[in-house]
Amino acid sequence: ELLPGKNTLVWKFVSGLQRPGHGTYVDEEKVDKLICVRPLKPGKSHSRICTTETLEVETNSRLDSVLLLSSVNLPGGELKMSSPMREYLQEGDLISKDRLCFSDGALSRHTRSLKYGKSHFFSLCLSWVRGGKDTFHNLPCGHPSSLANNGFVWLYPTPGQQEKLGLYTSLDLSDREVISRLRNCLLALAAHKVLLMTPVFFTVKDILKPEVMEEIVMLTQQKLLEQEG
Amino acid sequence: MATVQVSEAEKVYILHGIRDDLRVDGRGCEDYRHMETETDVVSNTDGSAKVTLGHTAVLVGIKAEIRKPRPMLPDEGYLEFFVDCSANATPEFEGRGGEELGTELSNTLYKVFNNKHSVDLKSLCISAGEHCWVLYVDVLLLQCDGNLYDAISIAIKAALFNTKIPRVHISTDDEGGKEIELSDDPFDCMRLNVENVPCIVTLCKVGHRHVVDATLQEKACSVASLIISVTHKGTVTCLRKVGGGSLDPESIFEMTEAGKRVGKALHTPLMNLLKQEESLGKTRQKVGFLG
Repeated sequence: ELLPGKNTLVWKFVSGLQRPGHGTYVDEEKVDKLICVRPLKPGKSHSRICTTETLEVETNSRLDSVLLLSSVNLPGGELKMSSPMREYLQEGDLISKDRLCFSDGALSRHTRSLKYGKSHFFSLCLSWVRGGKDTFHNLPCGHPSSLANNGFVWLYPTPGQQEKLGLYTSLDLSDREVISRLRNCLLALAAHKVLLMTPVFFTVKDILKPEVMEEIVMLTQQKLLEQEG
Repeated sequence: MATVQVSEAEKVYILHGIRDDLRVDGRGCEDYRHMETETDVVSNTDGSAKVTLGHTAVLVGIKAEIRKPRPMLPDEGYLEFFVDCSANATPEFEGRGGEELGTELSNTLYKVFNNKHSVDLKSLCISAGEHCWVLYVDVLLLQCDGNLYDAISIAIKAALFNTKIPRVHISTDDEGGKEIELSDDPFDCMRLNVENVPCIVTLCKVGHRHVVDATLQEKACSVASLIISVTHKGTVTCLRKVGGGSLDPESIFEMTEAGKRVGKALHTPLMNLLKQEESLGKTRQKVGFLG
């Protein structure tokens, strides 16, 4: 975390060296201007395709990023594109990738696989997702979810089922209920600015009510305190 | 209108959910999102209300002015509507971006509310052919998250309930000219009868079923929607189809029936809430439209 006025370790470069290591030393400095912190190791994030002509993707940030054609993995391990791009990726499609940063601050994205994005459910959760190395979590209730670093959340059916089911087959009502419940819980936690999540069981519809939302948040905060203490 | 992008797989998920009567956020097909209403939020209007429905937020202010009645209807007052699509709602409304939506909304509102069956327009008349009250209804969209019509109509009903029009006395002077005198007592005012004011229910056709209070994602999956205005008795006063797709007569009938049912159920809690808020009087803690 970086805040103005905070003491930070800064690499001082000696004689033309551009990289920390030999010939550099560490100094502590007060941050008094706007700086950009570039992550050493970029995390995984989900995104949505905006335009197919230039392959721009929305990443829940100020600027759209570009998807480099060279970093797209075609389905089935195809090496050459035999049909128009739109047959592979359409506007609104979801993808999941690693993030690469260009030196000028532009974001480039790297598709890992198209499989990730073609999900059963996707919901938006702004900035209250704790960034981590691993985006895929198994929630305490035994349900998997994927929280990406940029705040996009992907909830999907249990893995065994996912492989059985094709893309367009429908889910069980109970699975659907769990996904809806988790979605409402996550949104409630995000609305109350809590970073972690522990689903508490309520009827799904009730979580839309602010009172219940507050209760969930209170319970979660208590649990968090207990864990820390 | 704010648009969201939805991928094919998500559409399928939403469609199947609606088919199974369990929507993405856990609601059934005829459920509304959480709704909040507050009246008397703007002090310099004669009546005002704020409604939030999910993330949709609407502010309505009503101002009364004395004007000449319309020549065709000399013994009735009338309502004027203006919908302001603030760029706060979505950046698309910046500049003239919201104008088209604004006119569309205000035209529909005019059709729904400006008739003697919805509002007692005769009570707005001061002297036939010469003076009447004109109610300027100003709607401000603060946030858009789907289902604008329903939120606006509920806000208008609440604001009309809240409207206090000062009483006027007409006196004739020596030369036979008429003079309008406003009452000195600020509490001596006329209230409108809002019993027959309808609420609008928007039904979106998604797949083979229809949903009430669609979110933007669900709206993106629907082909057409039906706007139905329903009174507390369940009478349909206005029916309008929006959207590019087509609806077959059978589903229109089904949707009207559902709309009637939902709309009828909407009025009683709303009126109870408004009366309850009214009874609290000045002791009520105000949240305001920024809260």
